[in-house]
Amino acid sequence: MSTAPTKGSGRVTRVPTYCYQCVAGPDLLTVKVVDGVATEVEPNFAAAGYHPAEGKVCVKAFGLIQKSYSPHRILTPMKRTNPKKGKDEDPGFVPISWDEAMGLIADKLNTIRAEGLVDQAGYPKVAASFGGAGTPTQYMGSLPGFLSAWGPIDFGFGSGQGVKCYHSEHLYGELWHRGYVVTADTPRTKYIISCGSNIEASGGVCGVYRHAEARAGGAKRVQVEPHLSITGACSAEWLPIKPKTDAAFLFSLLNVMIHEAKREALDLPFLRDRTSSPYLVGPKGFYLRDPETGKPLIWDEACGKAVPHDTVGAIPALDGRFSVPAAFELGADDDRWTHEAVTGVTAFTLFAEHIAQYTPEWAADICDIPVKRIRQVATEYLDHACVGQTIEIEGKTLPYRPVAVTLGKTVNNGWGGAECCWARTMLAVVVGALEVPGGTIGTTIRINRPVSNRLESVVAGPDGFMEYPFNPTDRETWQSKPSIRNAYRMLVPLSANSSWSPALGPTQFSYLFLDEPQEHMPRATLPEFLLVYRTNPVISFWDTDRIANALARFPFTVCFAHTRDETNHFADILLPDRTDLEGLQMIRIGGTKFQEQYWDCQGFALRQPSVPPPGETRDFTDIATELSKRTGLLEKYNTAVNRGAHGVPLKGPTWDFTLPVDREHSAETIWDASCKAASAELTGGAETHGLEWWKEKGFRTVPFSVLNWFLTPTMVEKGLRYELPYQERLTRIGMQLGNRLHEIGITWWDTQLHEYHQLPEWKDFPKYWEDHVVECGGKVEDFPFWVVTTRSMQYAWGSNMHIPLMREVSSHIKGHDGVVMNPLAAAKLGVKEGERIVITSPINKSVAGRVVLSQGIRPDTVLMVSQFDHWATPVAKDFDVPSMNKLTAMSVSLTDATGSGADLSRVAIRKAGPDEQGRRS
Amino acid sequence: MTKWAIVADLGRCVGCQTCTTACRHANATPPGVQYRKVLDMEVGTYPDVRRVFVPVGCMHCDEPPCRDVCPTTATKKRADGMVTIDYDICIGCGYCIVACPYQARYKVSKPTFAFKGEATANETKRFDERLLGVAQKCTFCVDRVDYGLANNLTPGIDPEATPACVNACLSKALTFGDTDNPDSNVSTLLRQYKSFRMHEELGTGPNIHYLWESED
Amino acid sequence: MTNEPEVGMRHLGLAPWLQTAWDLRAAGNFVGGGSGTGLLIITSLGAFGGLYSRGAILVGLVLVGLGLFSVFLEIGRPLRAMNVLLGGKRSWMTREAFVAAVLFPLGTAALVYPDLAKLIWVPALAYLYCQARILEASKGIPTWRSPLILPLILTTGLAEGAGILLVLAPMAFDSATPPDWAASALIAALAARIFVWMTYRRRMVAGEAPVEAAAVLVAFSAPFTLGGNIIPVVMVIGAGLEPSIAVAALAAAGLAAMAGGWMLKVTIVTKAAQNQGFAIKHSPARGAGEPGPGIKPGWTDSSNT
Ligand code: SF4
Ligand code: SF4
Ligand code: SF4
Repeated sequence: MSTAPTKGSGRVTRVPTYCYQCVAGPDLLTVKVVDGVATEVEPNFAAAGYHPAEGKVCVKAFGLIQKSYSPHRILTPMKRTNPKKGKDEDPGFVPISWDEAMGLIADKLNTIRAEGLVDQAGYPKVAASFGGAGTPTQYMGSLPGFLSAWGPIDFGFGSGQGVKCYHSEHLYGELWHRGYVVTADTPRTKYIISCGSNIEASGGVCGVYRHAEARAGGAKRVQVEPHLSITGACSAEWLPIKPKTDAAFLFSLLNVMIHEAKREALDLPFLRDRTSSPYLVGPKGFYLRDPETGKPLIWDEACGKAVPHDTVGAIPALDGRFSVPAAFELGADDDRWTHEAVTGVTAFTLFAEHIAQYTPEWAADICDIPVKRIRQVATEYLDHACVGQTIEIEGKTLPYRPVAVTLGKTVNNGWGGAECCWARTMLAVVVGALEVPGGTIGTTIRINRPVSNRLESVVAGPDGFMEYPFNPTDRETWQSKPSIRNAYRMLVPLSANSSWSPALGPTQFSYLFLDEPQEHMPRATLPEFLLVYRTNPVISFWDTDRIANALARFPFTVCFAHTRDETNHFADILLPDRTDLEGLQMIRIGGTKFQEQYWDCQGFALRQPSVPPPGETRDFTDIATELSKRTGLLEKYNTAVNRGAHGVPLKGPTWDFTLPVDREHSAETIWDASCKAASAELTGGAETHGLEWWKEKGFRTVPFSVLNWFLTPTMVEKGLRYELPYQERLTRIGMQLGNRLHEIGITWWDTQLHEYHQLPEWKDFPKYWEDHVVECGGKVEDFPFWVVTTRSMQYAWGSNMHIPLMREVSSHIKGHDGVVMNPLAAAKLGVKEGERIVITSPINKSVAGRVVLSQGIRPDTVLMVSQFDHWATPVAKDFDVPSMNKLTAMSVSLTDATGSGADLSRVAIRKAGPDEQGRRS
Repeated sequence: MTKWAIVADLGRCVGCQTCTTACRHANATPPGVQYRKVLDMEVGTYPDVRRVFVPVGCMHCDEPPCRDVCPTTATKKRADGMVTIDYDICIGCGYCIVACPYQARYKVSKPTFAFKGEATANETKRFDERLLGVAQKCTFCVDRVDYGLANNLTPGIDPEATPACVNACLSKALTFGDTDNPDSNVSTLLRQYKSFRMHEELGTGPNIHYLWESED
Repeated sequence: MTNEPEVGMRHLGLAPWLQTAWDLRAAGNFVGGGSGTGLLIITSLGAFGGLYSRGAILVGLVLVGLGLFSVFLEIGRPLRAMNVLLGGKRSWMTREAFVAAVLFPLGTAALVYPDLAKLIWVPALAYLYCQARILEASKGIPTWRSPLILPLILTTGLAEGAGILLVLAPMAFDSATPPDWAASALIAALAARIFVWMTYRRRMVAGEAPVEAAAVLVAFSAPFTLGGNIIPVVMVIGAGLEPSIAVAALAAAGLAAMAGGWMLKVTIVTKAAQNQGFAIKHSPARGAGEPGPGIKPGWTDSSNT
């Protein structure tokens, strides 16, 4: 009797490791290895009590076996033999030895070191482009040690940052509540308004798991999005909103809550004590300040007069206009207005008056959502908010507000993104649902410090708010010349200056400014050396033809290459590394991480070779070490590693596993020391298990209190207020930035300056894209459709398009093989399911693909799932599925004040002619 | 008695296909042969539209038409409900394939590999000649279940004894267990939720139960 | 290969799609077996009226044999073909094989012992019945599992058999003209076949078959009704009215009736053979949302409520 297929007999081991292919990781898995051959990926069942999703891994992790064994792998270093670079030029890669490859690279780097690390324009000569959201760091071993030893590097060559990310949310989220990524407190929430957030496809294992649990617990989610995404499918309701009008929808919800609901339905104590609502605003639009202390004033109902905001025992008035005998306002730069007997209006009153114009009736037309549904959502949200209720967590009583608003890509970036972020945060604020159980909470920080602990980053700043490390805009310290090509420190005060900030600027400018130099700014130069890892900007960024065109001009590009792809097509050197199932690395796990990685423990996990590394691939750590040695940076590099640049400081209060800095160490040595240090860190020095122990166990954690998930208790403890609703500080910063730019003659950033506003207002955001059509010389009526995109669970962030298993299983999900379109739109164009259409954007770029009919999309919108359109990546280049990335314009006018664009475009669509039936049009 | 069944909670499933890939791994099936897969179904007309993800595969029917037509007795039904195929007896006539109203069965005649021409190391390692030219389908991971039973484990609870797709499911949409045992995980779910079975009207007695709403 | 629709646009594989497990080779079994046994039945019954034609018996056996050979080409493991005999407890395919084991020796013997010809109809009819049941047991294919497939396969087998008898007449019978009753038998069989066909088609179109399969049947209906049934009847009548063309007209009528039956089976087995597809009875409630209607893609009543 033979009932089951063979499982491959032989010596079986199960190797614990991690998957961090996507931003939603890390997740823990085991690899079943039979006689040295990886055969199966399985969840790490041992992690069930620790990992937020029982130690499961998503579909992408199951592609790793094919990734390791792909016959298309680059298995030796290669060098380019064709000096001409271009899409149509065969690079003529030939295998070379590691010695030769490292020699060539070191020569370049040593020349740069000898001649100066920055060029005449002041830009770093070395640039690096790493893929999305820090995932490459989880695979690059100790390379960060080398990078930090090197000195200035331009990390601002994006590969999707700004347009494929939650850009405005990152910046404003961190400013307002230390929420670089913002989610619902899903396990406890009961009502979620999800504007374009595709958590089921992009929230990874933990996102899927937690939301499934929430649904089973009776939570209701309303999905607001132009198409019926995976998340829309899993939601209780779908509201097909017009693209880029989410801010109007959210504003109108606030309108209903402020002007139609009973005031008591709101969390008045929270507004009064935890926000800037009671601050008195003067006639110039800035806070009225106490003449003596300079502190913003509030109206104290207890004693009936204006007092500094932090006056003990004061009962701040939330609503109203009050006469203040003496106060001053502080504007931009030197502006200072002294008042006597001046009327101060509470910020809350200004907010309420401001939001009065945004009625559901007003929004309905703009958003194409019935008035009734808008009121219904607002009412349901309030009904679910449980204002006044509490919950006990780990013995502590906290407010319980089980309502949340989540935003997705294209809603929370680009024009209108800031307004959406503000409205969403205000929706939490008005019912006291910000950073409390059940409410809207932040996952983690990337701009503030210390990264390891959000709560510790809550430090008192000016005016009773949290400190925020804005890039300076005052005359003395504003950076008038960019430090890197995308000018983030100069243009985007909110992007601050952490190690993530270069990628949080307008990363598209790094490419755009090469060809479109802007007035009064040093012309962008080509970096002399570009290092690329785990990213493919020629596919994943916007206006991808432009990226290809730029890369073709870069003089020296080194790519870590798994297979050939569209970016390394332009490389001079390809280096093969040991990939997911072959390399050695330890990372931190647990705590809270994006997207929905909320753990109740934290610690470390090890990635270890499950299978013998193929060919001449080398461990990333060994590569970094050799690079350091050949560039004379070994000491600095070792010092950086000892300091923990690679993730684990090797020295602690009672332990010291630091390595001698004057010599090379093997990857095993470095990670063995790291394992010991990690063990010590977790046990206060009691345990010092090395690599072998970790190889067997895979991960180790210590408890992490769930209380750490919520910021509000810390705010209470430190007596701080959220800087909402009124944006006094930002407005001042915006004005100062304007002054600085104008002082040196820059006017091309003026539109962006309008985003700095005390109370964000609706502007006709879709019109920005319509105006761009005209800017490009087109007519709006010739581009009647919107094209949008959506993430694919099978592909998002995975760099896995060359893995046939992913293609096979993703094909079950609608849209993976063409352009999704409503039958009404198709009928108008005279096309049927499976027929080819040509889609053209205002920048005169076209793609062609098959029609996929769906009722689940607005008739004025078409959808291109994921990012296809490969022409060099093996397997993927035969897909014949278009991508919108080629269509999306890269322009200053479509860049918002935070430096981001949105992932959409107006497009023209027509039926493909007989000559356009082929692979590419 | 025991009757193994899968309960698929349609309210939970997100269509991620992790189960599909986990099964492809566990059973080393060739490209395109998916004992488990998840459909993406659209119901309604814009703007009143729903999208439902529906895990399908062999239903291990109570009255399996595939077994009834099998001329070789390769397809059998065990006392615990599992519908099995003996690859050494099957002649690959394909009759069971047309008899199955759930499109659950596959027949592959030539070796096929992910990267076309050449087998990868894992494909070589796990290539099973016995499966060429015969019928194959979801086994309910019978080997895992039997291993578990032999080792005092509970199928559907202990991962080693549970089908790979169920273990892998991110949303806990899939549950495996014994519907004859009123206290089992699946029986409990079937009491707590309303459920239907696919093509029940055909009299096959399918054993994947789809949950669609909680019992109030 | 697999029974999946083409990779690419796979999300379309919800509605019934054409089965690919059985192709022309399998259809060949129903063509050969049906015509062969039809002929053997008619010939055998004719024996009671004194008919004895070695040629007809031989042709009948050869047709059945070719059918079996044809399906043999389809199986994945031909070396184990004999395992087909193991499933007698349930499978009509095994039973068909059992009957074949009676039919062939008996038929061969009848070539030598004419008296045995009178017995052939028993295994031949049984064989034909098995074939009908083989289709009917294919629960995965709505156009096959219809109970009407039984009379359809039986009547068309007889019509084909009678038709072939008329075709063979000039060669196989001394008189060169078939016995009088042969033409009547053909008309009777055709009448029965067309009646069953119309009913079958109507029910399939009315919702017992997927839309695509029903469309294939509808498209097939006119040529089949006319070419395979009405024209042969007209020819038979013509033959009666105009004896000078009788031999040719009857042979042509027989040929048309036979060809019609063959096309019918090729159509049902390889073209109107869409599988069941997938369906759900309800859309689920997502969290606190409401449940919704189900769907049965590819069927007339696609709402499946
Ligand atoms: S790809 Fe992302 S969600 Fe999936 S297992 Fe890996 S890290 Fe987790
Ligand atoms: S689903 Fe199909 S293969 Fe599975 S037992 Fe039922 S009829 Fe047989
Ligand atoms: S793994 Fe679970 S959630 Fe994902 S498709 Fe399969 S059944 Fe659905």
